[in-house]
Amino acid sequence: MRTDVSINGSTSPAGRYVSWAPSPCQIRLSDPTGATGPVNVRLRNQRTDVGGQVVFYTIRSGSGTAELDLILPTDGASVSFWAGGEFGSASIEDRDAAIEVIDAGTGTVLSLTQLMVRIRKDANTLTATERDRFVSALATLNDQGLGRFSEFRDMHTGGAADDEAHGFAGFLPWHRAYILDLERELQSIDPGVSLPYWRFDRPAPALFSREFLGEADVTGNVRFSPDHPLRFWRTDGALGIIRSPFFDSLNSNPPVRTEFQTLNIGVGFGAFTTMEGNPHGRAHVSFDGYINSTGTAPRDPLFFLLHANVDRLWAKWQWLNGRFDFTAASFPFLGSAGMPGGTRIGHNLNDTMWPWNGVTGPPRPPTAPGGTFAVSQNTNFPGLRPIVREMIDYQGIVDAASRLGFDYDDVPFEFN
Amino acid sequence: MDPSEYRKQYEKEIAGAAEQIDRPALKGVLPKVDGLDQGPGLSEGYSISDLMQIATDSSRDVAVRTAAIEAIGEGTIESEETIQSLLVLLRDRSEPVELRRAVFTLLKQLGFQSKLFAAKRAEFISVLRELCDDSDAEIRTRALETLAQKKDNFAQQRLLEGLRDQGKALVPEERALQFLGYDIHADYYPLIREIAQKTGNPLAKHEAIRLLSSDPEAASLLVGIFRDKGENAEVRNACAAALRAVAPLEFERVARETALDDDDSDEVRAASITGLTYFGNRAAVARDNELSDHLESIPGKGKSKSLERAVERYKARRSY
Repeated sequence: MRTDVSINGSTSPAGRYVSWAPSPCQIRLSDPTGATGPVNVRLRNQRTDVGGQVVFYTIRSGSGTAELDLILPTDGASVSFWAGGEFGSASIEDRDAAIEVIDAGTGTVLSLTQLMVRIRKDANTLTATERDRFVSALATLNDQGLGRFSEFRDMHTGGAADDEAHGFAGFLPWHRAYILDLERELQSIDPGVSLPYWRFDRPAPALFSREFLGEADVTGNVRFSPDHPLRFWRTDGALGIIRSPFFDSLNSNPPVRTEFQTLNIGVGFGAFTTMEGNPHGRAHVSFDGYINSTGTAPRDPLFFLLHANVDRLWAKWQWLNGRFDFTAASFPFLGSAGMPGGTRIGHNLNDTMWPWNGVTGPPRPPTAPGGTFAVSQNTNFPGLRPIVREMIDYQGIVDAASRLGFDYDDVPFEFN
Repeated sequence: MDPSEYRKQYEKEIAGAAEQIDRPALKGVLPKVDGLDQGPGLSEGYSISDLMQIATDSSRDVAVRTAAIEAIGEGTIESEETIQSLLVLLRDRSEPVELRRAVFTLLKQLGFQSKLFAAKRAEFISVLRELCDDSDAEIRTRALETLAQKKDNFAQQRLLEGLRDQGKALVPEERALQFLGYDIHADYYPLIREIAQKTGNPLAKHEAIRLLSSDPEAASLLVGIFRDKGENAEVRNACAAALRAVAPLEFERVARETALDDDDSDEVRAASITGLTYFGNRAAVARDNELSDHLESIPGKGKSKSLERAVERYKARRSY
């Protein structure tokens, strides 16, 4: 007797990545040999002492359970359930979690499905393996300036592109899309990788080390250990990264608002989005070098970790205040550009976002690098041409299908 | 971890946290007046206009004025006049340098957030050009870097002038090269190659090599510097990385030679092997049994950890 489990609509290993938000799953009896009637099965974590841990749901409510009992028909018809990572128990390596299915009567193991509870983590806390896999994927994406990274660099320049991403309400949704697009490209290189965040209100000595994102010399050149692939990093025709902190990067952090101060800015989006100045802008200008100007910032990979933290703060604010719906408190411009009460194109709830929409010419920029949005094996959202709205309900709390497939280590999933 | 328990704990912690960045310098500076427009989260409940009043008051202590500038960065500037006042402060060389530096940082920050800043961008550029010969090295350097980031031709010409004639240099040689690197022009390459060959300044040499990674005529120069075992390891490794960009086959040849050379520096060998691992021709790496066999002998021979790690990754990639 044997069962098959599909995760995120697929039995392929490519689909076996979950975050805290529950993923749609199915189980069926693929080989009913020995079954005389419907089979009682139990789903559980194969090991509870190591690896990522999963919780199960039959319906989308509550907090999930460590085990789940189901009854499977012998005709092979699928039974649906949901599975998500247990908050606080993320994977450390790819496929270190496993859903074990046993015959509830005999205890016989019917299948074992390895998966990963793949979560965005504080960069300063990564294991050496997590860190090395991330930088390897990044170096491969850059390919000395010849790889797809150059398109991400070209999406965030000064001039006309600036207004697509800064200074208006869509600042947070646009950057959520941007870093998610990059993360998915990294995952196409190594699916076990997720984008870590730079927690800029705390010292991060492990991050600013030669083994990770480098240590500045007296000229602001970032130095890496001899075997580090980012010593081949190249953007705009020049090797290397220029980044010189104005703070002691081994023992201190930039003078930015703390997480609590940021979350206390306001309970409505209009107030909260002023965090674009401090801590976001403040973090950027805490260095000399590429990262302190909008036009050059993405030349430094730290940019993406900075924005992962900005996004995490937004995610945490959303969680704290229940801001996943489409009301003014969650996002102030609920229509489309040109409608009464609307704002600049690209910054209304129903607007498409450049560059993924491929639209060029005023008021949009003259070119649209990068093509359509990266697809995922784990969710169908946000689609090839994302709209602002699709960045709000990122965990699929309001609409299960809206799940974007990422979560942060310290922002849980909770049904409203 | 139960999310609802986590929420209870988190809400308790956040309720007890300070709402604003503590700025002792601003305590009691201005009397509190009822009815003032309070920006969200600004220190001491001051408005932007209160803080600008403090910052522009030359009778106040510089620490108080600087704290006011920093506090403005927590709010939202809604008046072009405020930005104009900040530009005036930055430009005024009679103002304390600590204050001007804080204003510079704030203006850079506004570049990330403020729609109003766009209207003042041209004036900001004009002020920066004036600051290119500021007596304060930090302000001068930051002005030149900011202009270079914007590909400003005025700044580029001043930097080039300084590289050709040391008497006209506004910043050290290595910084001038670094700033030109924000917008490399092909006609800079002859000068950059000359600097790479002749300078006695290793920092400048390293910067020059960084920029030569797009100069196809630099290949033989890069090979020459790379092969010089008396040269600084970081400079040699920068050459290898630059060579890989301009002449990939040449890079593979010299990197391979170095990887096989047990008498060469561990640091340079590690970087060469890393380059081959990540950016070498996959098929060639897979076929290269001589190199692979030689590298097998490295672990456990008292070589550096970075060399051993580089070898492990090479072997792992080769087996894909």
